[in-house]
Amino acid sequence: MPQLGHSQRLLATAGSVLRQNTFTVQSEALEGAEAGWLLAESELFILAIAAAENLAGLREVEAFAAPELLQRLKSTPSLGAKRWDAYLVLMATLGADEDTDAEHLIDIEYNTRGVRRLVAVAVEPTEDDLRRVLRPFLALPAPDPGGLSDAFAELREQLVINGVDEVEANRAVVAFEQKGHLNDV
Amino acid sequence: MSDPVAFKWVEIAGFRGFNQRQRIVLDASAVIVIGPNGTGKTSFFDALQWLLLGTLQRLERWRVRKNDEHIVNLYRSSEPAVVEAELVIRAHHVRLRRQGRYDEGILELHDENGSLHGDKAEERLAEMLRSRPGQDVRRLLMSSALLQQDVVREVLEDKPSERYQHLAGLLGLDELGQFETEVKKRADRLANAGKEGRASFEAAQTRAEGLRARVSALENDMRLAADVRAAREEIVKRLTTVGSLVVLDPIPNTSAEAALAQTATQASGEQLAEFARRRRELDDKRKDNRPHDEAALASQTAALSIAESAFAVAEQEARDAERALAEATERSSQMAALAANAIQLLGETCPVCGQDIDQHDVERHLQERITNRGDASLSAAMQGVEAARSRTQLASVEVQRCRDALAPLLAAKRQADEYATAERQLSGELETADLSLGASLRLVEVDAIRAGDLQRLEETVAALRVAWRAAADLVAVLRSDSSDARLAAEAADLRRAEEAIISFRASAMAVSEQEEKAKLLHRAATRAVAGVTSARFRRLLPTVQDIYWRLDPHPSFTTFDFELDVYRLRGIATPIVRDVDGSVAGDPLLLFSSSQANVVALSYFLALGWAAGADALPFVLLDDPLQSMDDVNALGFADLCRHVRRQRQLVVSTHERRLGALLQRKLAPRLDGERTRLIEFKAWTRDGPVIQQSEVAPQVEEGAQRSVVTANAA
Repeated sequence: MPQLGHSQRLLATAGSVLRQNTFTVQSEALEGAEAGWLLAESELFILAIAAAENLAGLREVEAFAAPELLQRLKSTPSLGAKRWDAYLVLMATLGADEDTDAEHLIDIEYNTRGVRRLVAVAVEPTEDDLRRVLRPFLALPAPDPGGLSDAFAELREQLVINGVDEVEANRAVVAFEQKGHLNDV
Repeated sequence: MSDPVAFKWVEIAGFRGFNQRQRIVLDASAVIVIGPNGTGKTSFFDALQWLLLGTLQRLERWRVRKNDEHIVNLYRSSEPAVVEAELVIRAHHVRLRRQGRYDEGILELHDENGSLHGDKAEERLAEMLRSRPGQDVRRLLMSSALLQQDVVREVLEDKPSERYQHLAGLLGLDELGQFETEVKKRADRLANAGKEGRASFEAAQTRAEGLRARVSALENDMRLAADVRAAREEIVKRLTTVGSLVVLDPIPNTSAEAALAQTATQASGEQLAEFARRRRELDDKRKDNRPHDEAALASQTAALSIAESAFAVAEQEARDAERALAEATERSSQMAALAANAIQLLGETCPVCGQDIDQHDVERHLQERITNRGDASLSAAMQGVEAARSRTQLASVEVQRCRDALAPLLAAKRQADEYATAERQLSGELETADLSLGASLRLVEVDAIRAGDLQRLEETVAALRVAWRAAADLVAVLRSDSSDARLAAEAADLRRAEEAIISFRASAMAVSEQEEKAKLLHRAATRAVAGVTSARFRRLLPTVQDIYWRLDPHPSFTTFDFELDVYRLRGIATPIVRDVDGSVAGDPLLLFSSSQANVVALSYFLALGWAAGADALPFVLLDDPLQSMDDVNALGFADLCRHVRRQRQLVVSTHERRLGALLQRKLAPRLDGERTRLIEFKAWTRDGPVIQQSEVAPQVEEGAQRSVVTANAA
């Protein structure tokens, strides 16, 4: 198997993450983008994902990707209101230079004409990093099954950690849980 | 997956901005409330809050007077406000109705089990809303289900310690705060008990020291009074020897009675001794006193009178003779002066008659005249004076003689008079003297004493001395006797005090030990609560961060947090944002714009609701959360709402048309069974809001199909 380039690895990992989250994903070639791009769709979102080495590369890719995506959306009349849920996600493997890139980054992010653009820099080709980048399109992480309950169990542990005898800690916590006070402890 | 719906509908009448009754259908997982400011959107959210809690805490601080009306619509003030709703809470279908005014809102609750009213309805509703016993429903609602404008930002603006409490409350950790308070109360209580225990122990020690000293002194006394009984009998025997004159009955049994008898015998003895002394003196005087002779006294008095008369006559005669002599001497002096003058004029003839005169003889006569040798009357006067003086002297001698004879007679009479007076005075005093000597002491010879019988007096005085001495000895004996009893009592006290010391020492040590443990528990509880709270925050942070990044994809300060710490046994929380790359951190209130701070606050609120999981209330009510956010924030928020509405009913309002349109598009149903309601507040009149309600058309087909991505790509 040939060695994948960094951008290709980003796209491959992104595809994997999206598939795990009910997206339909396909890769296509894209003019101006050596690694091509990824098209993904769920019942809520249409995503076009492209990658480059740095922000300058992303600006070049964006120049091809945005019109191409808009063209596709226009040419698909059955989309209905879903066309407003289309995003162009641009990922760079290198970080942005604060002095020179900040303005360009804002320009891309705040350009909401036709399609919303999301830019992510310094992206590692790992599922964790890609989940971070694609977070807006993924469901919120499931809350802790325990919620915020059973604070008293944690309290008991913390009391012991802070030097209280285990029996004493347990006695105080149990008395409070049962009576709501420590008057007779 | 069923569409999560909590509120089916709500009816509002006469409540704040609502005048006429209006029913708002909410039977959808997403409800978008759109309308310009001032058209009643917040009244709608207030109605839901009042229905569930019976209060509008947000407005309480603005009420100046207790009866300021903030519930009832001002154009319908004669009738109470009414809010009704049908809900599904944790699988319970329930219908609620609250009616009331500023001071009271009575709740009615109807569910499958029947109807409840007032407090019982409140309790039942609280049970339904709580996910676990003891949860504060108001806190639960306000911290993760109803986001009022600026409420979450208030958390950021609190003081550090209040912010800590507030955050702990938002995390559902109020009970830990209460535990900490109880632990502190217990530590304070035991500290006071320890203080009291130590004070009791010290007091017991002091008392025991005093008792030990007294017992030691009494033991010493006891050694000195070795045989109290024998001494007492001997004294009683001594008292019986004087029983014919002084009776002490009953014999004193206590040192106090004996001391009274001692005082009485001493005072009486001194009194009677003085009487005896005076009696003796009078008796002695009577012995020395000679009887005076009244006749001789009268005779001598008469003789003296005669002698004094004779002396007076003689003195008068002497004074007359002296005067005659003075006159004769005057006349003689005048004649001598004339004679001296005549001598100078003396010649051979008389200057008067002219006859011849014997000049020498005349001169001699004149010279005699000058020297008074020739004055016979003067001589006679002088003789008369001498004779008168002689008689006066004789009369004086006679007067003195008479006086000398009278003096002893007068002295004898005066002495007799004085004696008689003293005798009368003594008799009177004896007659009236108080001779009672108290309850147990009595004089026998009272009559003789009053009669002034010296022998009885002196015998009684002697007897009283004996009795006084005996009483004094009895005092000492009885004192030593009572010392014995006191010693026994004090020794018993001392034993009790020693036992008390042991007991107090034991209990003081036990309380001190408890106090130390309580202090340790208090310190540990403060740190433990901070630890649990901090751990909760750590656990919550990924969700907060996740939501924050969805709302603001490229913040300069990439992470934010609350630093929780314990300062002077109080938890404090400081909000902090960090630029991890630049290693810079600071307070978001100082660094962030209002819009950014709102994003932080909104992220926390949504994260709290989300992290609560199954404990959370089944709805999220967001009253205009997008204020001052930019387009990117709003787009992120709209996408976030799509995820939220799949877990719990979402009711969100905005006053911005563009955002309203965005929400309509984003929250349009994409799944079978999913519904979205649009509540448009068009305007506000005195009858209440003008509301248009509709259902947002579903886009299920658009969502289901893969239009851009080919189906076979999956």
